[in-house]
Amino acid sequence: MNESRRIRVRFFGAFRKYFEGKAELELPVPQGLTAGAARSQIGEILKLSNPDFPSPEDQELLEQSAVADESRVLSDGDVLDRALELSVLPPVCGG
Amino acid sequence: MAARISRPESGAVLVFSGLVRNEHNQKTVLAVTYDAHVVLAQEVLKQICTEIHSRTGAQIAIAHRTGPVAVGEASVIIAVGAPHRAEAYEASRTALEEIKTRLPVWKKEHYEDGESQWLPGHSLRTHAE
Repeated sequence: MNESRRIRVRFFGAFRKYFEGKAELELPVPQGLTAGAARSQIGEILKLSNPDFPSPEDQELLEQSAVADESRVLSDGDVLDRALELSVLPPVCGG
Repeated sequence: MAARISRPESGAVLVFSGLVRNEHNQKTVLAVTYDAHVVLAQEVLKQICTEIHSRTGAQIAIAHRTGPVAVGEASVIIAVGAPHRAEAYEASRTALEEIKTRLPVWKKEHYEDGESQWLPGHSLRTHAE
């Protein structure tokens, strides 16, 4: 089993303002990484590439956001060992 | 849409159109843009329709726009067919509430003053926990 791999993380909605082109980044995923831990690491990566992140609203937005793999919304404790892709889903506003 | 859910036993057919309004929070809205995680959204729509059908017996079809939608245009359409009106109204109303709280879709409003804003919404974390 690959000890540490990198997978794509996609962003939606209000997160798009942090990206010029495609709203995505690559996240190193060591074995056993959980969705909750991935959210925190994503916050750190966004901080590095965006000097104005996190404003208080940004931090709240990330805290409120769900993490999904390619087929379902994950719970914070879910381990990502079989995830092929992640998405950060801010609070939804359909209809 | 109505043709897709109509059955000989349907005594009530409802087609709900959610339109983009020209005003929100005292600001003049020119249009909205919808962002969506399309794969997950299709899965969630299937779940919503299955749940509502098993609870009310109603036939239900839902369509939701993505990308830019102008004022007056429909962003969501919910078509429902059921033997009687009670189940039809319940199914239609439930579908819209579920869309607003579960569907991985996001709405950006574009205002007359040139500003735009992603609207706040419902966190999906509570649904997954």
